[in-house]
Amino acid sequence: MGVSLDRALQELRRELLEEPSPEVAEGHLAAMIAATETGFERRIAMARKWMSRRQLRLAVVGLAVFLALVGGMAVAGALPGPVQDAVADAVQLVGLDLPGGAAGEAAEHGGAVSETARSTELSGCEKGQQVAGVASAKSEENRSDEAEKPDPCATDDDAGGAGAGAGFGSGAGSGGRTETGGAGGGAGGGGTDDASGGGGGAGGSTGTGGAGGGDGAGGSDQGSGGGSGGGGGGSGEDSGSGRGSGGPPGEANVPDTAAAP
Amino acid sequence: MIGAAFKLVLASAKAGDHSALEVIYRDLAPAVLGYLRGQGAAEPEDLASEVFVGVVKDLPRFRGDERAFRSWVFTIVHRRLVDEHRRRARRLESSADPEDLLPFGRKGDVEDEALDRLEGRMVLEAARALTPDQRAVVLLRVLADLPVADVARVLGKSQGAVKTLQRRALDRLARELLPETVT
Repeated sequence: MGVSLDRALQELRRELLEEPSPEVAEGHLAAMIAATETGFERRIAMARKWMSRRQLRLAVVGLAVFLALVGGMAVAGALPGPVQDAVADAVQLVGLDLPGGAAGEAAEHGGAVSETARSTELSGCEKGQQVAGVASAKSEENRSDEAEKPDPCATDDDAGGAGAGAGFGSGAGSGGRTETGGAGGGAGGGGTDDASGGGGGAGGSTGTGGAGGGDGAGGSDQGSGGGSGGGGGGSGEDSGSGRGSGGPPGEANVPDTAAAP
Repeated sequence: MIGAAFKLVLASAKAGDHSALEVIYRDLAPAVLGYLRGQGAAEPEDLASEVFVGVVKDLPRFRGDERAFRSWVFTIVHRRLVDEHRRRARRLESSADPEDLLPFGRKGDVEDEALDRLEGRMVLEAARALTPDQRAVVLLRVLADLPVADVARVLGKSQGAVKTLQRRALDRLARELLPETVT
């Protein structure tokens, strides 16, 4: 006796696939239901409930401590700039006025500088000066001596201090001026007097006090030598005029030089 | 198979709904018990009880559709069965007698029943001649309706290995049941 393979597999299925008896099914279902209500699942559920209450309690306490700490520091203005600004903005909504953060002032100042740079009609060095003036407003406010303020737009040619020659003749020199207070050079004109020579040049004035140097031109008169004057250096911080001292007589029309002190 | 309602049934069962658990049990119990009996489990009902309790306990962690669920359940079944075989091997107990594989008689015509029982007995005896792996593949394919990929997952083997086991199992069944037609 033989059976086909398909029939054999059907038979195998029919033999083995049997509904459990009611008693067996009842026992299995009871065990399954008990498993849902006891042991692992119940412990998990209880742990979850306990954890949630504990976590909630910790969260509330933590939040209260955090708010008290941040609030105190905000009132004192001790928070870092951005945080202070954020807190100040937030509490401003409920009518409280807290000091703004340093970063807020800095941002405001930066905005002003930027606005100046965009809006000014000046150009070149003057524009730079205006922008720099706004940018360094606070340091300018703190600076007491106006003479300390340099003029970056000035050049040696147009800001030289005037020097007065002195000597037997007459002379005038002009001292140059540099950013760091350079030497001013003065040229003294030769004297016209018969008996006297040329004058000395005066030192120029500088912002921080520089040395003035002058070349004295020899006198043009006959018989008497022109003097060569050394220019007196301007030694004051804002008084740059120096006085040249008379040099030894020289030959007419022969210029001489004297080093500045 | 539960079908379209499976998602709802699974969600309810995860929430501990008893009727949903019963739906799952009624759907899977015949195949689970059949697999355990076909594999020669000593106490298939007790083992099935352990399986379903395990399913309930691990249910919250399960994610997937009905096919994945069946595959997951039979993975539990197979592992429990392997554990039981190991326990039995340690106790040096004899494996199940072929008589034990036919615990449930069917009612009906006496002659047909006798013929069916004879055929059934032959098929079960032929199945017993298979290696454990071959038998597992055949039973999971025939009883649990699992595709090859899922059978491979349950048994922890490659799909190629499962196909090879299945081919050899069917060849052997054919030789046992159809000796005169098999070359």
